[in-house]
Amino acid sequence: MKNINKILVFLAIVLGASSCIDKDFDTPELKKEFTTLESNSSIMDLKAEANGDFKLVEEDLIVEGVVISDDENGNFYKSIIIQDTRENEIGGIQIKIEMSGLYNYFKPKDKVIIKCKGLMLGLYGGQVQLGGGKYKDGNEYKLSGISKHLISKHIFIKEQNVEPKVHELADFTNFQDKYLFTLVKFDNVQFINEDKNKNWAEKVDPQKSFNFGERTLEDQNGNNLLVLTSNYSKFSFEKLPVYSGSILGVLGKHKTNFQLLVRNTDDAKDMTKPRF
Amino acid sequence: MKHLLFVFAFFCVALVNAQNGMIAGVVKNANTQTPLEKVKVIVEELNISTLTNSKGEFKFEKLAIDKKYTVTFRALGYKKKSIEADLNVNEIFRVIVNLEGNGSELSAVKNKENMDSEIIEISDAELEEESIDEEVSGILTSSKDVLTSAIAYTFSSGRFRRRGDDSNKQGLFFNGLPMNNMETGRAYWYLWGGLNDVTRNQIVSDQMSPSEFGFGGFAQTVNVDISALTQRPQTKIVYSNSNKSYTHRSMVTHSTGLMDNGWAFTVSGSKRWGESGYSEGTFYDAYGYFLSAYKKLNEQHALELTYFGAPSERGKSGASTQEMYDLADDNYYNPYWGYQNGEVRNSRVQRTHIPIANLKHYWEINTKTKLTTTLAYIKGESGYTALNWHNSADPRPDYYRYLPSYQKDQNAYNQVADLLKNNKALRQINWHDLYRINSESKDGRAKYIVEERRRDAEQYIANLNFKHELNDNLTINVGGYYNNFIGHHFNVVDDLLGADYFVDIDQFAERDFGTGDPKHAQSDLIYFEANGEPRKVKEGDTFNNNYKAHIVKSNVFGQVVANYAHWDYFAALALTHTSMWREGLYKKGIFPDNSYGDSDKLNFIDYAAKAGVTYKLDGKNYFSFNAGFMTLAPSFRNTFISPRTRHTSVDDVIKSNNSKADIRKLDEFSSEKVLNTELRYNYLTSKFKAKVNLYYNKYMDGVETRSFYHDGNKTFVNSILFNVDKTHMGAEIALEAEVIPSLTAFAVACVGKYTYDNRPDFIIVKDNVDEVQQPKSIFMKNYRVTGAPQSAYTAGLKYRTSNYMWLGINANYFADNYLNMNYDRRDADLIDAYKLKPDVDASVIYDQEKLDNAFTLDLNIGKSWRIDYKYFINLNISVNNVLDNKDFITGGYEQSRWRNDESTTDAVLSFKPKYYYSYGRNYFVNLSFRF
Repeated sequence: MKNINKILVFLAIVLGASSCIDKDFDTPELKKEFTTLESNSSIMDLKAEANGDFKLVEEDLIVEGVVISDDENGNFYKSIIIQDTRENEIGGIQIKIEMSGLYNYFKPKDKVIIKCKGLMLGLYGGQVQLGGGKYKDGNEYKLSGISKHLISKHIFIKEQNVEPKVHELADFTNFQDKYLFTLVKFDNVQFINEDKNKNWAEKVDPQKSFNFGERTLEDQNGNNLLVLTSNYSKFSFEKLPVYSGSILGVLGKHKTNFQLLVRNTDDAKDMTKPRF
Repeated sequence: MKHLLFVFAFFCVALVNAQNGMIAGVVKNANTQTPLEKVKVIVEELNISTLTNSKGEFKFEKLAIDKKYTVTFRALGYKKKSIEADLNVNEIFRVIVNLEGNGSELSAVKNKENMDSEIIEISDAELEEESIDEEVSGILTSSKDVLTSAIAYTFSSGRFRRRGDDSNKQGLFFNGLPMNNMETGRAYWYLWGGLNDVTRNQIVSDQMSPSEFGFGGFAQTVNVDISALTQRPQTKIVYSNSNKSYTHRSMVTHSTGLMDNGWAFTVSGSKRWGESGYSEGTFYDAYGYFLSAYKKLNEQHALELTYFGAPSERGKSGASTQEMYDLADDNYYNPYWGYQNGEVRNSRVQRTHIPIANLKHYWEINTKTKLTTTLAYIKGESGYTALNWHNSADPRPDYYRYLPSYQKDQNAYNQVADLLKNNKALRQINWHDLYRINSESKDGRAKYIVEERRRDAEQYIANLNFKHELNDNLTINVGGYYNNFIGHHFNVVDDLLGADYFVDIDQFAERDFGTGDPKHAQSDLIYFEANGEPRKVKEGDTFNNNYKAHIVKSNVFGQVVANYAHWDYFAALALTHTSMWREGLYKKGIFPDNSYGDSDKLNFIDYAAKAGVTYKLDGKNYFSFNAGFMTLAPSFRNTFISPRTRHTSVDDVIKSNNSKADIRKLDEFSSEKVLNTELRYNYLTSKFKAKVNLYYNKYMDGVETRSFYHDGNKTFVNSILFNVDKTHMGAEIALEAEVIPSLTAFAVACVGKYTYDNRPDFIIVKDNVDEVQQPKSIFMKNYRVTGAPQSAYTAGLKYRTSNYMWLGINANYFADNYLNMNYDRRDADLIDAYKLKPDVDASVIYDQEKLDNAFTLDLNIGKSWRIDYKYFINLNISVNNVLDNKDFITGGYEQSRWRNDESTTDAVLSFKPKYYYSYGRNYFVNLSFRF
């Protein structure tokens, strides 16, 4: 037994004295960095560079804008939409990024600076988008998203909590191109009779490549505007507003069709007036 | 004739100056004439015992000289033998005792030799090495037998598996208790990691040979003898240093041996630790403790209580794609870690502590009959951590979309590749980003967490083992066990990464069903219905899945071993009843009726039989033929297709398929059938030994389940590979020759060919809707079985000097290893469809990937010192893969995820295979001191 005691003492020394492996980690100190870069071009000028085709941006073009999309609720996916914040400029653009959960990086109301040199301007449904490169899919070119690793080379946060300007448009006719991919608002509109009892979107069908609910708004003159909502969005199962009123959203266009994308149901919360 | 069972010789020398009686001698292996160490020598009349030393010597002094004594020799794996020593005739009685192998010539007993550390210490490190799920080839072997030594040690760096057998074909016993993992059937050794010095006594029954402890499998059966009685009375202190899985190891062990008061104690403790192993980010922090008390109650009865455990915590490394390895310029790149405040933090930390309490009763009914009863209670925690996230980007640095290969634009490809090559942090987890995102989250809801995936165990085992020597030729063994296992699987929030809570919802269900009915997405529907919202979990809370795997096995076995002058026979039978069921502790939102409470019980009755005959032509030539057939119940993991979510079993899926009209019917779900046959020839002389084994093994009706994201279905699926038939055949050749007395040359070749014999069925079940899809035929016939080199070769030299120094060199070659397959890619209909498109070369989809053959060179050197015949120092240094071959892929797998696009094969290349590489040059230094 004497030996055992000796051993136990020795054991304690060997096990106790040897170095410990540190597995406790302090919470990192987090500081948000803001860029001091300034823009040198408007978004409309940047889009004009594309000249109706895919184009690698080779000049030192820097644009600025406020984020008006929000992928947290799932109606935007792997892209952000920014609206020009330069004085007296109206314009917006969709930026494709090969990453989900972008709201963790670029939240609505974040004012961002985009260093466009090295990025690719491309076309989708006739509309100019900004992305990371182009690739051939069958016979046509497509724009690829900016790689996760290249985001920090091109997109910088300048300021937070910048209220985007809301462009109030009168009705669903004569949309000007400068309002595309900006935040727009329409008063006195309602979902058409056929749609008023529907949800915002349908159930996801993983086998379909087009997973959107298509709903139609009408203005008081009987003009229509398509409201496009992803079946993957968090509010796809919620009921459309039955009443009339004002609605907010990002104005888009695919080929010749204009369309409206809401960020969440708050964008339609003022549709509370009786139907017309 | 019976004396031919053991060669028996003795001679007596009288010494005049002895005042007391003495019995002394040497114990040798009857066949090889090598000294046997650690043989227990008992003087029955005096109830005293000792163990032979490294030269096989033993000595009892100060004995009364006017008596006759019965001296009994016992050694693991050898037949017990008693002699009479009459000190009336001579005061000093000297003897040479030859012990014969126990039942089979081929039983290998691991004896502690001077040379042991060259084999064993390193072998242990291999056992603990990062390997798929801690699984190991198994034996710590005798350094005597070059074949088993090559398989257990030399070939382990190439993940060689003998005869291609998974470790569920091995029998692992610990102190007589069946220890194969109840859920997987596999033999795991990590439960007693670091307790190397007390788990050293192992009785290894070779492939297809009888084992006293139980039927085992057809592969080797190992019993680890931890009895305090058989531990060498000594104190041993060990320090080791390595660049493999840990940096340092210290171990202290003390054994009293059987003391005058009838007690024997062993106590052992160890610590293994390191900031980083061979792969970056793999810290190691492990302990081991062991206590054993043996009490001899009287001549017939003894009791023993043992308690031990090995709490360990380790940072793991993970396989990645060659693209990542090339970007990192390191085939040992580990995607699991990242910097946090400048320190390396691993996201995949494995923690295990499953202590075992073991009570054993020895009853020596008479000299020929023994009954051993063992009870064990095992309860502990085990698990590993992993990142989890919600509605946020995949945080894994090697996620395929973040890699250059996903960039379809050349310019973007170059930029991403440059960044990843030149910025190490980008190749690792960005912990700070995860903390930042969590800190910016609304209401403190976590987007990213570290979860721990637990698999706790609680197990009761009762084991009975009866042995009776009918006569000098016949021994019977009868035994049985009852083994009740509960595996508790659940997830726990390990670290909220600065957030306040995480919401417990099933994300796949949420994605597939939307939020139309929030019930669908509930991990715990009962909580949701009671509280109106999903659970907000904090650190330490259980979430996501929570179920118990119940497995109860009852087994009986019987065996007869007969040894005669020229013939040995054995036959063994076993019957096992297995009952398993799932107990859901959460009611899952998507499966409210099929997830909560007990599932149906699945019962399997398995039988096993093996028999063999050995013809001993003379003392040199041995011929054996062994054969066996058994059925083997599927493991729990291959029975329940998605135990995290529901009760559905393979049986349910098969029945569901067969109930449909107009669909190909499948066989019933049943046990795997295994037929093994082998022929052996041994040639044994003291200067030259040769072994040639030929084997032919069939495996039928195997089953394997996997879950993965299926791109075709665009959802998570469970899959079953069903009705798998295989043939493993090959030869094992081992030669060992004494060139000069101090130099031995040896060569071992294990040449195998393991192939699939049929086109197995493959059934996909959509996880979220439990929808059984049409069975596919998998184009696998004549494909090679994957996962381990089918052939391995080694040749080398062992040199010993007269001053207890040794040197060894091994040159090794590994061949015919194939990458684990994605079965879905071998859908026979799909391959036919591709064949109609002559412009598409689809072979990239269905051909097997053969891994490169590899050459390695190992060296070892060691020396022992003996001081005053009291202190022993042993130093051993081994360097494996001396030539630093860093291109040796030992295994890997094709990702289950892939895209089937019949117009092109590019899609398959999006998800490239992941590989494991064998370590480059690595060393192990072991210094032991014992007294």
